[in-house]
Amino acid sequence: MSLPPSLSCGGLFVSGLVAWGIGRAVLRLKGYYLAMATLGLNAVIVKLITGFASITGGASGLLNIPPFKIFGFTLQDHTYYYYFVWGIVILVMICCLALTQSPFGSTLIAIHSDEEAAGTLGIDCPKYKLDVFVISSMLAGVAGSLFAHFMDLLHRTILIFLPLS
Amino acid sequence: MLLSPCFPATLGRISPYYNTVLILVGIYVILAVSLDLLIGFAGQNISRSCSFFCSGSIYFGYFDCQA
Repeated sequence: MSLPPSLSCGGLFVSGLVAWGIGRAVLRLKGYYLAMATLGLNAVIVKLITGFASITGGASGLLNIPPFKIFGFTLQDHTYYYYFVWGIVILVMICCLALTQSPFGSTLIAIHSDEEAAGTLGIDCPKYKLDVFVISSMLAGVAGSLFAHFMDLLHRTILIFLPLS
Repeated sequence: MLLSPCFPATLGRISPYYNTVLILVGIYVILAVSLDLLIGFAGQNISRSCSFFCSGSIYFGYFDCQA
C-alpha cells in the first residue's frame, strides 16, 4: 500500500513541527549551553523511541516497511530509487543555494559573524535562528523518510548511532 | 555531484553494492546540507540533526506500515 502524497509529505512537516516546538525553547540558549541542551535532546529521543513501542516498535524496531510509491509507480528497484534520491538531492541543493544567496542567507551570515551586532542592526535574531532550525530539520526529515523506505526496517541503533558516527 | 545521477546509466547496471552505497551517499548529502545551513551559515552550535532524521523516519515507517 502507498500513502497519499499529502501524507507522504508529512515526514517533512512532522520534523518541522517538532523542531519549531523544541527550537522555541532551546534556541534561547547560546554556545555550549545550546550544544549540551541539544545533546540531551538526543538522549530524550532515544528514550522516546524505546518507550513508545506501539509506534516505534521499541527495541525490536519497525519491520517490513513497503518501498516508496509515487503516482502509482513503486520504486522497488534500487536503480530507480537511486535516481529518485539523487533527484531530491539536486533539488535540495538548488533550493539551499538559492536560500543562501538570498537576503535570508545574508542575514544568517550576519548572525553567524556577530549575533549582537546583527541585533543592533534591527535583525530579529531569534526569529531567523528558529526559521533556519526548522528548515534544517525539515531537510533532515526528508533524509529520514528516504532512509526509512530504503532500509526496509527502522531500528533505534540504525537511527541514532549511524547519523552520529 | 551534479554528474552523479548519470552513474548507473554510464556504468550500465552497476553492482547492487555500489548502488546501495551511492543511495546512502545521497541521503547523507541531504543531512550534510541541512547541517551546513544550521552550523555553517547560521553558526548555531547544535548537535541534534539525527533527532529529526529519526522523527521523519519514524513517521514514514509507522504510517506506511499502518497503510
